[in-house]
Amino acid sequence: MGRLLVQEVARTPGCAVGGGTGRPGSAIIGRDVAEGAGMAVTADGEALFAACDVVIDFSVASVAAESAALAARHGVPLVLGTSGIGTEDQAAIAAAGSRTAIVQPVNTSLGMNVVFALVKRAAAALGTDYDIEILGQQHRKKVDAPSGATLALARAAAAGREVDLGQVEQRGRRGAIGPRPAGAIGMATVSGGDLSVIHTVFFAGTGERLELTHRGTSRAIYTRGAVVAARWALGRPPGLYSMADVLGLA
Amino acid sequence: MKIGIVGCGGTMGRLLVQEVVAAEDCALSGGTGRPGSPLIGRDVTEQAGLKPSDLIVADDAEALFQASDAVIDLSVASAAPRHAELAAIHGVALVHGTSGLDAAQQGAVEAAAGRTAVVQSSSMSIGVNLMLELTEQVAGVLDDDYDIEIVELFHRNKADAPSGTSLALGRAAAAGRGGDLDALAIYERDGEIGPRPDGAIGFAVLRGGDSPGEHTVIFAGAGERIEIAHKASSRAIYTLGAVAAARWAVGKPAGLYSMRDVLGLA
Amino acid sequence: MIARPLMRIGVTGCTGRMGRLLVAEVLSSPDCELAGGCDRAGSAAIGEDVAAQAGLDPVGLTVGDDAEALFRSAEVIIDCTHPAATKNHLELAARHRTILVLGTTGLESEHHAAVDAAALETVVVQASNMGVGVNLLMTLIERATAVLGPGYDVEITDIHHRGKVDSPSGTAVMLGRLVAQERHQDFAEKARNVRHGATGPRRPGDIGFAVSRGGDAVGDHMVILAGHGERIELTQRAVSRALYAQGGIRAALWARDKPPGRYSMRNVLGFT
Repeated sequence: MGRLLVQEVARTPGCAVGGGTGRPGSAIIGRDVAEGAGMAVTADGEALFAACDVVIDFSVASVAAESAALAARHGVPLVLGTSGIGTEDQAAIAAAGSRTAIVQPVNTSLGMNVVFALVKRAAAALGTDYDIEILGQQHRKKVDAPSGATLALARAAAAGREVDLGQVEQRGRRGAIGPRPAGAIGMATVSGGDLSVIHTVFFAGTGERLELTHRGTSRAIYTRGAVVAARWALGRPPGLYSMADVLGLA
Repeated sequence: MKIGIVGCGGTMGRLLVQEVVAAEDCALSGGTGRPGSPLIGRDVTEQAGLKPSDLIVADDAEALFQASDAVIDLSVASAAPRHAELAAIHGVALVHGTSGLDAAQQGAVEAAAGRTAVVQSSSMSIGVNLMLELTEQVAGVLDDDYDIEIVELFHRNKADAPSGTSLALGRAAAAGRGGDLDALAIYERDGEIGPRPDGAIGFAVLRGGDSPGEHTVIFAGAGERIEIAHKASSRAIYTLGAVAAARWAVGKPAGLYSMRDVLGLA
Repeated sequence: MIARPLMRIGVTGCTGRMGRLLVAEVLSSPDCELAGGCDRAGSAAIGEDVAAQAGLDPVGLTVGDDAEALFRSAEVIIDCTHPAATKNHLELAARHRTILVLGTTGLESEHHAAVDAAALETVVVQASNMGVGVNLLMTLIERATAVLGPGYDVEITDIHHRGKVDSPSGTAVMLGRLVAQERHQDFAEKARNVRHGATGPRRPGDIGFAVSRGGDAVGDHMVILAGHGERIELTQRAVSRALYAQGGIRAALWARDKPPGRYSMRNVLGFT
């Protein structure tokens, strides 16, 4: 993601690459951040935050809290797209969000965020005589399931119904499962090939069914969205924001 | 052609009665019900929602087999041996679609096939059987670079997972590659699943609404995917297949046949 | 608390496919009672029991050919017939202050003008599709189109049974019009119904239609919003026409206390 983000920033009018960091000891330290940018990748986060107007971090969960702290200290907005952040770290990030603008997107694609909003709307409008099922399709190398997007879609549906997803979710079905409990939100995952990422939310009623599908065929949709979030965050008052805030979908 | 329906009062039985009555080249020879059932003595077609026919629901199948060229049995496993024997004695073609037969019941059906034509299949739908055939073929042609996934969507009351059809599709895919489904199947994915094992056949099960059953087999490769999908919108597809099997079986030599024989896919 | 009297509903064209479903739906609803059913003069079903001709147990009401009498005796009329009858029905509804749920499809601008006129005197719920799913889809499409902007190309597909004679379906056209409206475009200019041969690149802002006819599909509609690197698809699949009849009853019950005016199915469902 990092490399793609650098390329996205470099080709976006009005934006310039201000620097890039890598893991200490990594092979890319010292190499060019971007072709012709005239700057080298360092392991110095402090310098990065000092030199830039906004920072985008889609690296790893273990450094997320540290990024947030650096952003707060330097008063620089941060777009933090890392997943799998633990509760304690999340509390630290929230605290940092009281001193600078932090956008924490679950997913930066415009299309997927529109689908989140539509799913919530549909779930709110349709009663539980419409069963909600989510099918996520991912490439063979992805090592976890359900995907973050599948879970986010499920949460959007639960939010629309004003229920807690944990109470109603059904993951995996095998054997004598019995009839489906009313109000359940089911999730299933297909894994194979280098499938472009496809997510479908089914609202299955009696006599009809609605399906909302998002297909991502290029990772550019995520990098574009990340840069949109970064530009939005600039000049924003301190706070913890979502992609829905960025896109005006809240 | 005279076709009889055993278990004519059940969900499938009634649809079969309607199907045979509607078919131009068939005539309904009669119907039976479970001994003690309130349907015994009632008009066969009237209890199926049609105009009366003067055929009465009987509780013993002997007279039915005597009066028929073919009998369709989508009733219960426990009745299978009796029906198979009657078919054999009277030289009547038998279409048998009940699932869940134990070894003894299956043995009885196979024994009858030594004396009359028996078509046996767990899914009588023409579309599903074609899909099984295609799945096996495609799986044989595309190697492990193509990952096989089976997705199904069924109505909210279906109590078991995956469906019989999904499992049949999985077996067909495994057979196409000379493998064994039990060794390759992945039925659930939750949490850290690790990278996908080569050759695995994955199942994804969706439940909701009122769909009578939709199945998609995905062959996912690098840069492309092939999907074969079957969507049932009505249970009538099973009865159409059963009547087609009955038509085909009349006059065939004794033997145990499948829907693939009926459809010319074997 | 005094229970409300049952709502008296009359069904025009009660021997047609929708008419029969409506009769069945009214008879099975605990809040409604069947005021009667009528059919066009000369129909073979005149004089038959309204429910029996719909395949149900007789109720002692006969199919008549006097629409005026039905409009007079019913609180609500549900009308899913033919545009040729629409202006007359609207006039009768206005004259007798009968609520009219107008589900007839294929209405032209003259019919819409007549709806507006009748709406000064009585409640008219006009909806060419009375199903929940399609109406929700309309709301979702408006939102999606507004947020995604012109960088996303819109295509609409419709799959219907082999007997359907119009193409694209009324629903598909309606969805296209919605997109055009949201984008401040002229639908007639942007709709592309035929692609054949060397078409040249897609004209920006076009709304393309792909139509399939076959089998017994009650109706599948899909709206595709295709951008760079991603695509969103909003689909509705109908397997039962009973949905539309259920929607008609729902509209009738909703309309009960409303002031005269013109309303849509989205008003009824609260999907604005």
